[in-house]
Amino acid sequence: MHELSIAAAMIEQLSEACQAAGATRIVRVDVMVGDLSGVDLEALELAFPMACEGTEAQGALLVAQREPLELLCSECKQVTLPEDVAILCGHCSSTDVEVVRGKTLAIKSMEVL
Amino acid sequence: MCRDCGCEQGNERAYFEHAHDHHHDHEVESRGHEHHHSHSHDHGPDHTVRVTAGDREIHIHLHVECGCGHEPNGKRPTIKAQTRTIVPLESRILAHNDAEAARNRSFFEARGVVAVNIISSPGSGKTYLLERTLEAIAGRIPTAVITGDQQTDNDAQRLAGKGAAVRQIETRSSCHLSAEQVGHLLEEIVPEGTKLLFIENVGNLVCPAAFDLGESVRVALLSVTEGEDKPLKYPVLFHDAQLTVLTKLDLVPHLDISLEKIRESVRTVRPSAEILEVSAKTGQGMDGWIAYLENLLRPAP
Repeated sequence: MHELSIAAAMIEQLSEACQAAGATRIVRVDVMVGDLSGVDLEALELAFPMACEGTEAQGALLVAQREPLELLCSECKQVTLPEDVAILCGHCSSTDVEVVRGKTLAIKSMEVL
Repeated sequence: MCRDCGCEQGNERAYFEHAHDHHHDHEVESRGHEHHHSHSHDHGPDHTVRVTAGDREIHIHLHVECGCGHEPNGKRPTIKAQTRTIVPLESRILAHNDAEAARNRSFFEARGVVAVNIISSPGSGKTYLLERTLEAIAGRIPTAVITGDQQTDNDAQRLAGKGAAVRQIETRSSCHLSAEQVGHLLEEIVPEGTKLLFIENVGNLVCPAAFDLGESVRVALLSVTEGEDKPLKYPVLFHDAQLTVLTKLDLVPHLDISLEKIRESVRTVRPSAEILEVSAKTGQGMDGWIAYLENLLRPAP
């Protein structure tokens, strides 16, 4: 359950950005969580309110968007969106593929009052 | 529709009761996470409205035409809704850890140290493999070890006296090592002349995989008793690890497993993975593991 560490790291950045924006309360936070980021969305949604307690983000709504794994084949140059983590081109079965999306773990934006 | 909270009943003439139920879709695109809750509205003659969901105040807004008849002095109520501002951030959540990891990486490069981050589930044989490894390279490769556990320095005690500097990190409630924790120890534990640093992470297949420690190479251990499809079930670690070491090879005759199926699982999530098979107990495959480490120490051509 390292998602509490992740949520704590989020709050640190959010608090700083909230003060920098001259705001007093964070009401919504939008994040992007890749399938290969090592972070579980449900666990993050559970941990986030705990990390928010007593901060500007207390009661804030977490809107988490999943970033699916996306592979680009070096041979046939086509894109594959595998259902499971299988590093394989879905078109030509080459394993010479690059992970182009799915590792993101980022705060996109926040909404403040 | 009310422009502040989006509830359907807002701003409708029929809105006489100061309590209503409504339904929010909270826009979690992939998950369809929906809430249903009731609002109770409580306002004074100035029409400032407190909106609550359960025991939590969500926001402050005003239904201009709520139909309550409280229009002091015959005037329209004043809207006091607070302005929401969207602040774009586009920031990596682990930026702090990544910065510390980059600092560690610079330290390793400056000193010519190869740092090996070893990650596996608890009980897959990390400490035992390290014990045998330290014995095999003692006197030849100046080595240091940082070992992480939630509690006890048992692992550090097991690894002490084998020619390497050993330091334990007790992470307490935390399920992984962070780059910062490792960074704090480097000056002390990795003196000039050190060639190899083993970082034995907290036994956990999931959490340590998300945290870069600045290592030169990430090694996953997988004991043959853990199941053929474990890399498919926990793909993040096995995708990121350049090397997977299958441990406890001496147990294979007692198990109904196929080593080839384990290798296939590893290569499904990382086609380029190197795979070694060892038994630290019998010494089988240890030569290959030591050769792998020695190869890492060779300067790139």
